[in-house]
Amino acid sequence: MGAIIYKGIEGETIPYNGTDYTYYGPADLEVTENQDGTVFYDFTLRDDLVFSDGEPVTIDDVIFSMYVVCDPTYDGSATLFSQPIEGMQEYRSGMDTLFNLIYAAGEDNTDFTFWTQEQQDKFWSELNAGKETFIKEICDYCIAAGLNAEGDSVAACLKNWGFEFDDAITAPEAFDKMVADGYAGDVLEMVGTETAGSTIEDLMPSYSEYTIGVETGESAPNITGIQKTGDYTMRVVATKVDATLIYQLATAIAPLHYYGDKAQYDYDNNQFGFPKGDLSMVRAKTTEPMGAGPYKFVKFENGVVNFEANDSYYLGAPKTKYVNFREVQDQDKLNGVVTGTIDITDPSFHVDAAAAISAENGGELTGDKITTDTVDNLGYGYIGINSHNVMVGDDPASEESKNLRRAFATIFSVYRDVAIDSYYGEVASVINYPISNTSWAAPQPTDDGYEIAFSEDVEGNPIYTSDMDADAKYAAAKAAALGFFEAAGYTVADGKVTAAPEGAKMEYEVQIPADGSGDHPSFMILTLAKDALAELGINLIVTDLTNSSDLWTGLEAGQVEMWCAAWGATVDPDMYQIYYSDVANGGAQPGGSNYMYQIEDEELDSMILEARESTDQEYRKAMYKACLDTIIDWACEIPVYQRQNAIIFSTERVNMDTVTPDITTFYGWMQEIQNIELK
Amino acid sequence: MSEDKNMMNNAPSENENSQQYSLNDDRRVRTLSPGALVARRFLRNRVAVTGLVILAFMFVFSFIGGAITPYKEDQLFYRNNEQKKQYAAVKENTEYRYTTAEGEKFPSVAQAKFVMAAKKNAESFEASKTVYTIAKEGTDFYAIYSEDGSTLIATAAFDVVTPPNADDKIPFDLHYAILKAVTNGEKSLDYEGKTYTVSADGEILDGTTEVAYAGRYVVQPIMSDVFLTRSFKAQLLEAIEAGSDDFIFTDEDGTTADYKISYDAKTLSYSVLQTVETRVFDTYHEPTKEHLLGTDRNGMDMLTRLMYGGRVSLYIGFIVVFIETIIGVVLGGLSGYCGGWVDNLIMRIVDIFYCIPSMPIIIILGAAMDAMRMDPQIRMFYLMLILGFLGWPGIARLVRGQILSLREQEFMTAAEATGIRASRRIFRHLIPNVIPQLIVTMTMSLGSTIITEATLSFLGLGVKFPFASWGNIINDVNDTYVLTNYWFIWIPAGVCLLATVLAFNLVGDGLRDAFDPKMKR
Amino acid sequence: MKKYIAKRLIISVFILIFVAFIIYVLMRSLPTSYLEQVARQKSMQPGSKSFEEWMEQLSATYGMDKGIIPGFLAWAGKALRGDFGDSWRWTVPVTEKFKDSVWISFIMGGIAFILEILIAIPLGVIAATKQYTKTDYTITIVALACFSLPTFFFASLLKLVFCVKLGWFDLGGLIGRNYENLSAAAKFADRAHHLVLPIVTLVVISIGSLMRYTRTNMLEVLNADYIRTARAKGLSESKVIYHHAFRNTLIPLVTMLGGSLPGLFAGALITETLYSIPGIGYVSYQSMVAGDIPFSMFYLVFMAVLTLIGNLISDILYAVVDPRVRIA
Repeated sequence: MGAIIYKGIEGETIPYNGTDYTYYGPADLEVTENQDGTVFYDFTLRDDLVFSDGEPVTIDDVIFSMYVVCDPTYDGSATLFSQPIEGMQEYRSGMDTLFNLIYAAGEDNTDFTFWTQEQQDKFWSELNAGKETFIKEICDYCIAAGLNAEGDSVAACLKNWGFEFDDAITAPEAFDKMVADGYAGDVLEMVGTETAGSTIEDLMPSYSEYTIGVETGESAPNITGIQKTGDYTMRVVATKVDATLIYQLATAIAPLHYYGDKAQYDYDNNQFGFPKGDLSMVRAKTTEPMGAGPYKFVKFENGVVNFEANDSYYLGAPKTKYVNFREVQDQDKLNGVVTGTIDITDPSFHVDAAAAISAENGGELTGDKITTDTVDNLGYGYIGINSHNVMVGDDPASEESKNLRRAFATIFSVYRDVAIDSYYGEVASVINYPISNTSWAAPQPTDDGYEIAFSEDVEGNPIYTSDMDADAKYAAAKAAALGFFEAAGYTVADGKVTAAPEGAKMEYEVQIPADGSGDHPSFMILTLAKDALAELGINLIVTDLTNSSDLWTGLEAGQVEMWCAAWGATVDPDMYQIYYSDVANGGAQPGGSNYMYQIEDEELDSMILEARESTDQEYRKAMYKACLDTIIDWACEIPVYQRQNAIIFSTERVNMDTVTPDITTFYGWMQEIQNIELK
Repeated sequence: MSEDKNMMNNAPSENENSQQYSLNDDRRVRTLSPGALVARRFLRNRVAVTGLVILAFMFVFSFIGGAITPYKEDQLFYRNNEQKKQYAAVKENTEYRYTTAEGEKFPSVAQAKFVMAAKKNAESFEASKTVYTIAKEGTDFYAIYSEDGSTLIATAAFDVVTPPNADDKIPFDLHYAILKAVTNGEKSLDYEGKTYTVSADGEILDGTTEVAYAGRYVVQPIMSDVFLTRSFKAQLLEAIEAGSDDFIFTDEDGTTADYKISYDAKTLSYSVLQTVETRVFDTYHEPTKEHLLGTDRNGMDMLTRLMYGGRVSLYIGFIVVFIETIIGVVLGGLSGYCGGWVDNLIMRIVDIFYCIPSMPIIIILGAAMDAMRMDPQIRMFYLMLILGFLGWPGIARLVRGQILSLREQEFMTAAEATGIRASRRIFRHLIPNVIPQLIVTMTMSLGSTIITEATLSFLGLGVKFPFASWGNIINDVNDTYVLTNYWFIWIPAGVCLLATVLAFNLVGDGLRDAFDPKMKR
Repeated sequence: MKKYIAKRLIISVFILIFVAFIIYVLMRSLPTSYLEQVARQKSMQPGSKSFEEWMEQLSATYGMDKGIIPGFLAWAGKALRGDFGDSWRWTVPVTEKFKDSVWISFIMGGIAFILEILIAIPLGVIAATKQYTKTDYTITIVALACFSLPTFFFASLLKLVFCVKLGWFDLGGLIGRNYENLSAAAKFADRAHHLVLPIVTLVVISIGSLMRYTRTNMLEVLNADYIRTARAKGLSESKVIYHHAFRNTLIPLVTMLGGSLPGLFAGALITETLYSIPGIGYVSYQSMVAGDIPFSMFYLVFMAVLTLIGNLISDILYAVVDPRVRIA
């Protein structure tokens, strides 16, 4: 179910599907949300983990791995670097706050590449005044507390504050020394900790001007948010609560001594096993991986990857000594299992495949020859409409524009059933919300307010009844669509649309990357929709692209009106990436993929942010339901289907009792691979 | 004497009605032109004629057949399948369900905020610029009021209150009263002057008539116009408790309906599935009277697609080979005949063409045509042009090679000696001797072009769906299940391909034999 | 002759450069640029840099930020020194990947080549000598049938019959399940076993055309005057055919075979894909489709070199073997 195991070392027991399962992991995790909004993630690693070459696993390896994936030149698939970890930006991009830069440059600085003389002068005058105030505050506090007498020197008062200075020291000097000695030059840290009452904003009225980040090209030497706290413990500090961060922290532990250079690792001196910005050492070993998993890599030749059991695996030595991974054509997968070439594989699962498997077994999906496990695919298929390209007039958010899109959406939706049933049969389901069923935030039919997508007409009345047959449904959908067109401003006469309002057209194009072979379940939906729309007087052009990257290029250029594609989902249903438009700020920093639908709804934006910033699952689920309702309201995304993936095992050769029980989307068969035995 | 002879010879008057006899060969033996000779020799070759007949049949099949078939190439056919579809879903409710008072609004954003507020035991919360206050009025039951606490806007509860019949509606205030009573464990409640009793099972009775019932189980039908009666729900819950997979519902009239129950561990809910008839595409239908060769993977008629496919394949074959041959013969001929720098230049161009890989060109072309949104028919045309253009080097080299050896033969020297001009020498004397080899190559080319088109369709670069070509029909054969169970998909297409290519080759062979003057027969 | 060869070689070098340039232009204009794909993937991940930023970074890393001509010169410069760079898609040096995959294709191609010569030529001769008899018809039709079917069709049929129904062979791949546990001799046998079906496929596809070609040539030769003379002289039929006719048939055959040298290294894309053999055909196609420029450049230029050499050999052989041909 995608839940997180916090106590990996002793194991956590969680019930699933009627059975209690105990899950183990390599580490314990404790999450503390602090008052100031930061979050601490404290990890405790097991002390008996060993890499497959015998070297023990320590927290240094974890830190090394994190630094590799956070390196500015990293171009692999982990995205730890984009998480709100303290000090991450500074490490990567040579950004520093103006405050720190001016301070470090000193009062006599003459280099004005990054700020002006004016700014510098103002800074120093305010800071110097602030220093006086700060020290005076401390002295006053001590005096008031009775630790010092009136008229005591600065040094005397500061002595009671914990600082030993010469008697003749002045306030500014004392300030500087406190910063330099105790806080390694970090003024803010010092002020924050040692203050007797004022904050830095109090001391320097225009402080906020200096908090902007300035790119200097020299980045920080380490990530302050990644802290080693012991040989097997560490802490990650996040600058704000982010529900998605915890999933990103599940990085693989790569061995420092193998991928990096132990000689170059010195935590205290900001050396992490490889020269910063140069990952060649790590890249060189890409083809010969090594780690602490259940099997170790032996070689890759003749199209087969050979693995041998790693006896020092922490969950127990694997029962099957050799495992081979072989690249096989999809159509050969089933036959491979039947004839004995392969034992476990994942054929693409549609009606014909299911029929073929059943035929082998004599009628069922699981039988004497083949055992089939199906899990929902982590993702779903959809038809998208770009709000800026399909709208009435010039406002994509107006009711008319939405009605125009709803007209198309209603027609597309009614043909989903016939296409998905034909192509997938019972092994895929039509979904009604743009979210994968694998997500815990997906609305279920038992939930309050669950509705079939686009099943209402302009007034909000449902258009389908349970006794309608297919033709009646199509007729109802067409009638409803006509209503939507009319509400959008189209001229309707005799059941056909005759003219389009300003800013809209009578003809729209939908692109589908089906490799030119029409082998895509949504293709039939589009073909049927085209005919239906033609009856209504609208021309829908269906373009089959041989090359799917043409679609992405077109989307990026904002030239695509409607298209078919699928989303891959992640464990966390965070919607920032796709639906966040930052429209309140004029679209300054939208989510990375917002350009696709271009849903620009302020309320949706704030809901997404709020959902993200809490870790309470119930609250988030309710929030996401509200978000999903808004997304459906915009009619920019028509969710089509959710398919299943199948893993098939050879019943004849694999001892099915030893296979990972209750396989789910998030707990694959490889999770307990060490237990699998052959007959 | 000579006068007599002359008169005898030249006097036709005596022989007006008799035929003219002559001793010349041309009147003695019936001779035919070279073309007619070739034709006669060809027709005497039984195998070649068979090939010709097959070809003729293919042409008729594809072109005329395509015109008379009642179906369209991409016409879809449907059938009704039985499939299990979700009828209802059951769950023990663990989330809040909301009812809104008449005339009030409680959108989903507010619901979400409410959840948070309830958790934090707050007294009020804000959503979409409206402030609400909440009051906990029972176990897992909250009432949501307007900001000043005066108007009851909505209720949130785990328990579900349902009327016993479809037509009954429970007014909001009664609903609220019921929830309050049930969640506080009270046995009776007052509403608008009437007292209702609350039974242990959650039934709300007005005397003995059931007005509503409340419970934790949500039984939700998928279609909003379906109403599940109380007895249905009760029987269903029994079946779930018993853990059975099948559920037979008998209603008051005694009619039964079969359902299956399946449990989803992830959402902890039960799905009630009903077998219904759904319309699906008529895929892989066996040959019947309506579809003489059955239907294919997408539900389209195979026979029609074969006909249209034949058109495409034949077109492509002929045009490509035609282009190839024209260019190849001209350039090869020039090259072989002229020799010298012309030969060198042309051969080097041939080399370059040989070295250029065709695959990237085809991929690029495909993408360019996509970008230009070209009509699929025109795409095919361009595809053919390119294939032809990439194929001429082979023919050119062949022709050149032949000409190089033929050029030195005696008959060419003789032709030169008799003063025939160069172009006539090339086209009337040299090229006809190249023709035998050329024909064999051309016919083989025809065959291989059709195969190339099939391979391109396999890679997705050829004729696009939904247009048919023999190549993309045969593609389906990759799936062994289709191969073993649906013979009508691949065997007809395979047979057509085979027969056509074979026929081309046989005709080519026959022509070659017919052209060869030194043949024994 | 020597002058001729020398001249041809020099011209070939120029042609090679020109062809390499054209190939480079083609690869650069491919719609799916590898970098674009990678950049797009990365920019779609949450919180990542934007697409343009990734493109910049990747272009700089992979040296694609120059224009076409400077890019080509850069590639050519490195290539002349033997450094063909790292393959983008396979993340290993180009030459290494090439070496790994090409030998298996070469072996398959080579064995198929020999087999097809051994089968097709005798059959062609027999068909020609027994023209218009049942033997001739049978051989012709069988050969044409083999030739008329697309490769994937035939391969799928073979797989169905021999792997699934009869179970004699594995479905594909190069080695069996227990390869690691076998002795060296058994390993060799295992690999050979796996190559049987692919080679059979390759042979069957190609014997058709070779056989027809042989037959046609043979027929022409058999009708020549000198054959009539040989028969008239009283030589035995077999001597007539095998000593006189056959050798003259070989002339065009040899030149044709000389030109098929590049084919041996090209691998057979469809066959390799269907039998899951990691040969050069499959690898090169994947690279081309993914827009992997270093690998494709190396491979295509290599093929161009072989083609040029093959043509040259073909031309030379033609002149050597047929004294009537004079190439100026």
